[in-house]
Amino acid sequence: MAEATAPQQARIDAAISRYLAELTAGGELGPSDLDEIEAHLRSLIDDLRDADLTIDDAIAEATRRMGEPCAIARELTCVRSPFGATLSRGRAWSSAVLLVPVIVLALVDAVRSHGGGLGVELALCAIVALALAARLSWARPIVIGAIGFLMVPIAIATLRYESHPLWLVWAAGTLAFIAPWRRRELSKPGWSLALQLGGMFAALLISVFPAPDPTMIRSLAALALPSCLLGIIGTIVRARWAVAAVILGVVALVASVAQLWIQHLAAGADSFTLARLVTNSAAILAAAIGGVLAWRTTVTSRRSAGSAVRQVAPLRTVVVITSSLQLIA
Amino acid sequence: MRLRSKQPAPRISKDLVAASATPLLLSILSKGPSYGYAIIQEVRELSGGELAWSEGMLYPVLHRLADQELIEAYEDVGENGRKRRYYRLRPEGRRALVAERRQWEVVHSALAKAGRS
Repeated sequence: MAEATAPQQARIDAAISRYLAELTAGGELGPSDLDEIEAHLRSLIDDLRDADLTIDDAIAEATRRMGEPCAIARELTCVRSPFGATLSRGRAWSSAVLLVPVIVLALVDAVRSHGGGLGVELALCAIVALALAARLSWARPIVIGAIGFLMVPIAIATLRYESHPLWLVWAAGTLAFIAPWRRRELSKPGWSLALQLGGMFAALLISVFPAPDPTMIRSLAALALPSCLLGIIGTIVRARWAVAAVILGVVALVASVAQLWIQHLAAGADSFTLARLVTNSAAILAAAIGGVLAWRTTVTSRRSAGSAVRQVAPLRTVVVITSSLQLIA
Repeated sequence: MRLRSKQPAPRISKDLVAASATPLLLSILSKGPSYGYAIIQEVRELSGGELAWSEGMLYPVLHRLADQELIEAYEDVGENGRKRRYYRLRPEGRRALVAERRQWEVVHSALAKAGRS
């Protein structure tokens, strides 16, 4: 093979740079991933030139053989992050910014009720918003699940003129930034996390659901809430004990929603109450499906330890930052 | 009258290519450490050019195998002086290869018997 002249080498370099730019546009790849693909492209172009192809033909054939850069980037990103493709900076930061109004409102509520109110929700929302801004892969499915399940009660409340339609626009807008628009953008563990949020929401809504005799219902919801939260944390670290927490949460939720159904049907519930009960039941079903997916995707062996360390290390940082912010607040 | 063209070599379906990727990569790496481009060349050689892989898609598969701890990656300088990422088989990968081979033998023997009957 004749040595490439300086202009020829410049054409090769430019073509490789274009290919790598398309790769980085399709997903977040590390420098070593890009180096590996660049080395492959250079070897392929060299070999094709050895086979008497012109520079242009060798470049065209090499990029054709390598395949669609966006598809490769998407697959590589999915492998690197267990919960699915990492969001681009723009989408992650835009959706994190959209979470700020909720945090501010929760903060105002917490201050008004002297720290009572929505303190836990505020902390969780702040953790997720920070994790989303830091583009940690588990934050995206959590926000997808949270907004997805939140949209139903917001829509019902908007229809009954109890809530400003702007909230519905806010939820749809946030969801638009983080929704998995392309196939396989979220992996199975990602879907497991998103669906498990249904359990959290059902537990929160059931704990304030009006009922003729709410004592037992609220105790069960109070048991379900930390169980569902534990299930989500366990799924983030990909440990199989998460499934036990999800089962406990779902069983408590099924028992509480069953009592709600019995009491409201006996009292002759209106269509609005029935719609809310159906929503809660569907959210519990979603959490159960999330539990099944968690069972199929989490691991028990020592492999979980490495994964846990990788996932918990950034989580711990986020918790420390959030705690500091809370102290300042 | 329509002319009958010569029967082309059968194109291996995408599903079969995907299913055979893991045992093929594990088999190649069982012979010694290798890097992406060399692995693709070997796959082409072994299949007589019949296994058409989108070459870039090799890397997600290799990274997935590394994530499953069947193989491991390390950096080294190649014969041309360029730094390369090499892959080598782990003991877990060797065990997985034995299991994969057994499964493919079962499928192969079932197909052969079905062809005879």
